[in-house]
Amino acid sequence: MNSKPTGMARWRTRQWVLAITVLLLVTLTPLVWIQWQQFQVMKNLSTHQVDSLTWQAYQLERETARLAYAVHVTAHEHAGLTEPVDADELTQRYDVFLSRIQLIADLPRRDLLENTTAFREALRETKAFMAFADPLFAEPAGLIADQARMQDLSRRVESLQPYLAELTRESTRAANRFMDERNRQLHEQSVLVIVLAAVQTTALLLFVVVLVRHVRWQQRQYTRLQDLSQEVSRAKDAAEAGNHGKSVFLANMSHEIRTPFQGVLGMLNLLDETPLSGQQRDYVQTARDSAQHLLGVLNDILDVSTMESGTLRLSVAPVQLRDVAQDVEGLMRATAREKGITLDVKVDESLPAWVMADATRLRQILFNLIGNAIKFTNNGTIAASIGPWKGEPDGVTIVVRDTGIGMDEDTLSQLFTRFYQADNSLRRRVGGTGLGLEISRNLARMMGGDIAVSSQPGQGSTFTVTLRLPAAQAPHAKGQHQDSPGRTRRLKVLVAEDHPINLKYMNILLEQMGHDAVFCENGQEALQLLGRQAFDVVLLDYHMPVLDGLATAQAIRALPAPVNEIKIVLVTADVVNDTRKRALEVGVNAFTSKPLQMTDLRRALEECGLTEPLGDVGSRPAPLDLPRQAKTGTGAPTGPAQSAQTALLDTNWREVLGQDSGNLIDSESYIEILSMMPSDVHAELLGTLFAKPEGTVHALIDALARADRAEVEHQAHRLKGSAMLMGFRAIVAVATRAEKLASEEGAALPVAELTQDIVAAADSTQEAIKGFALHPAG
Amino acid sequence: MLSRRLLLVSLLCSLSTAHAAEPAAPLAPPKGKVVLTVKGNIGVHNKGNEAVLDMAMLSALPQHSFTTNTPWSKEPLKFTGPKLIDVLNLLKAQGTTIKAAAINDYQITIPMEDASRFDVVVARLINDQPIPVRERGPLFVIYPFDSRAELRASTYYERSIWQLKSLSIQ
Repeated sequence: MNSKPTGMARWRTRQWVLAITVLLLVTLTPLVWIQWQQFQVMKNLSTHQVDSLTWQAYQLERETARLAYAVHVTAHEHAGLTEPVDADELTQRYDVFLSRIQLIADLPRRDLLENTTAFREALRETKAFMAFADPLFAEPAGLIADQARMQDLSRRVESLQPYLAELTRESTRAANRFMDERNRQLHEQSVLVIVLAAVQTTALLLFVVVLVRHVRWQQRQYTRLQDLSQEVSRAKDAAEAGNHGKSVFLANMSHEIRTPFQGVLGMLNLLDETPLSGQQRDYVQTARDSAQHLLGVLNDILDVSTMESGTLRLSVAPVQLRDVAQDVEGLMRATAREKGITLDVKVDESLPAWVMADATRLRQILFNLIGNAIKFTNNGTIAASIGPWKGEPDGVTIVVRDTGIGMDEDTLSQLFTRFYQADNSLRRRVGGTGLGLEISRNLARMMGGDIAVSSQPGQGSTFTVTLRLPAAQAPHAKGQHQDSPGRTRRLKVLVAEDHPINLKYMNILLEQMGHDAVFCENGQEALQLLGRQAFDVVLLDYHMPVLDGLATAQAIRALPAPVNEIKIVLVTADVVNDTRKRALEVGVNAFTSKPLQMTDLRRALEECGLTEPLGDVGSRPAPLDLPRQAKTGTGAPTGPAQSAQTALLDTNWREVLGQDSGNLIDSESYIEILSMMPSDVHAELLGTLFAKPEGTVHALIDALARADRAEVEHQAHRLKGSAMLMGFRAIVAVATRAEKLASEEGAALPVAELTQDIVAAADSTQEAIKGFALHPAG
Repeated sequence: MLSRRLLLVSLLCSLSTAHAAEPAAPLAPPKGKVVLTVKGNIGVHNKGNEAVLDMAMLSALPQHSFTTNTPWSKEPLKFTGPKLIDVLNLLKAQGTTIKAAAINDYQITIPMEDASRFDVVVARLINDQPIPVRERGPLFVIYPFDSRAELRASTYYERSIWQLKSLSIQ
């Protein structure tokens, strides 16, 4: 960090502690020593009292005086003057005197006296006296009787007295000297103790200072650390926000690119149908392959970015697992067969028939894993089995096992990493974005499971997907997922959509659903139309020129009542939930995703409270979800979806159109429709026209037969709209005529003629389009 | 039942004998030289109001020995003699203080409780030898200085009276 302590401060804690410890030791040791000394002195004093020196000397002097008196009295016996002293008493006095001498001689602190003249002289004189007196006292009775001896003794004792008096004085002086000396020592020691205590105090203060400084330094470091961590977390937030922004941008961009890309693909298909040289056809094929690949990449990026921005949502509905498996098998089989590999997809009987799942995403996982298996297997079998997940009540396991090249440990460990591909040299050969597995695993995790893999080089790989797909009730039993038009309320729908193909398709959808649609190209026009006519609902495209979806919704809500109460459905390709949130804020009632699907639109209208729920429908594969399926081939030159489209265009319909088709079918419109949707959807569309008895053609014939003018007018209008979009000119012509005739009150309705014309137009049209030889996908 | 009554009877008997014995134990007169005279508040006498004791009477009491340092000798000394408390009990002394006097006319007041608190001994032997007067005999009141730190103080050094001559109980 930035604060390196400098100078003294650099001399950090450790050295400081060491220095102070040494200082304390240096000062404390003498203190202890001094205390020990004092303790010893006191102890010594208690056992060998020094003051007894004076006392003993004094007692000796006194005892000598008493002895002297006793001897004197005995020696100079003045009868009657004093009481006579007996021998025992005298001897006792002498003994007591001797005991005193002994005490002085044995004095514990006689060292204080020893060197003094007084002591030496007193001792010498006393010894001399004892030498003289001892023999005398050995026979006390004799002594007392001997007057002369007694007098001699008396003189000797008296002459001893001055010496002992001097000894008393000398001991007093010695004791005083000793006291002085001790006081001086105590004084010195006290001074020393004070000095040492002062040093210690200083050391302690220093220590406190160091400690405080250290604590402050640590606090500063801590604050700095906190600042740093805050900075880091701010930076992290910023980075995450940036990343999120990037993801949103990517999601938007890839979607924006995808829409016109559909056009490019369609045009390429058209181009392929024009007279071309072999080389040109090859170019077109290459361009289409590249475009297909690019579309796959775009879809992958879109998925990854929506996952990263956390806005990917699963749309869960009852799904038949068996249907999903069949769909996937049907699309992948051709690719497998081309490589000479067997593909076997099995569904365990014990699984519930219907489960709650996002069919599109489930299919995406299967396509990815099986696609990869095909990619990395050159011969053998790919076995995919869907079965129960043991130990999980709602669990489903999907096992995809191949006999391909397999993977080593290293590869396995990096397998789910972004952009990782097993073998770099393979990358060029097999293509793909390297995002597929990551996406699949994320999807599996979103479905409450995961993907595991086991593999050995050369032995093939086994991918095991676990998912939580709760069993579901089968939706209302309905043979057809398509509604009979009369069953729903007819709505007046205003559609604001600038993209011509989407516009056409929406028209077909609405027509099929039995609603009346009015189209406009942008929000501005929508607002104007709303001012002029009454509508039940407005479908707004999110991206529009002039005034976009959100702005239009806002503007509609700002209109005067009751127009502002109209239901608004936003058609948006934005998977970013933020858009939806904003849309709800400006007053949008419902959403449908783009490309628009009938089920979605129906649900949206239900949500607006405009139509009754009809059950079912969610279970079928999304009709316009082809681009998403297309990418599952991850760019392999012959993806399954592409093969479906190629199948369409491989046919020889050009020649069919060549023969007088100009009046029958508008080939351009029809081809557009064809390129827009997979064959089954296309078949359905045709079914809405020609199927018996619910197809519009037959509904019109029925109405004519009943001579129901209003119904004729309505059915004719519907037929006209649908036929116009499909490019069926002959039908358009006859429907227009029928509508006009039915609308003219009072005019006769040529039922027979009209019926005949309609049947003729329908038959010839059906005949003509047969040339397109629509086979089922795969 | 029977044994309990018997026990009770024998207990009463022993009590009565103890009582009866008290006045019936006069102190025998000393046979040897008198070494200690006790006066004042004592229960037994053998010389007027006083009790006089010779060395034999003192040595007849339970003897107690200890070795201790003293301020008056370089070496530790072994003191032997009856405990002061035993001497006082022998004479049925009652009071709070003892005034002790020595041949050398030294006098000191010893609280009676010292006799029971400490093992104060009236020493008649030092290092197992009788103590002549010239070596501070014949009796030496001594405290066991080495056994207790609190004793190593002037108060108790003062109370250690040698050449003991008499005790006066008050």
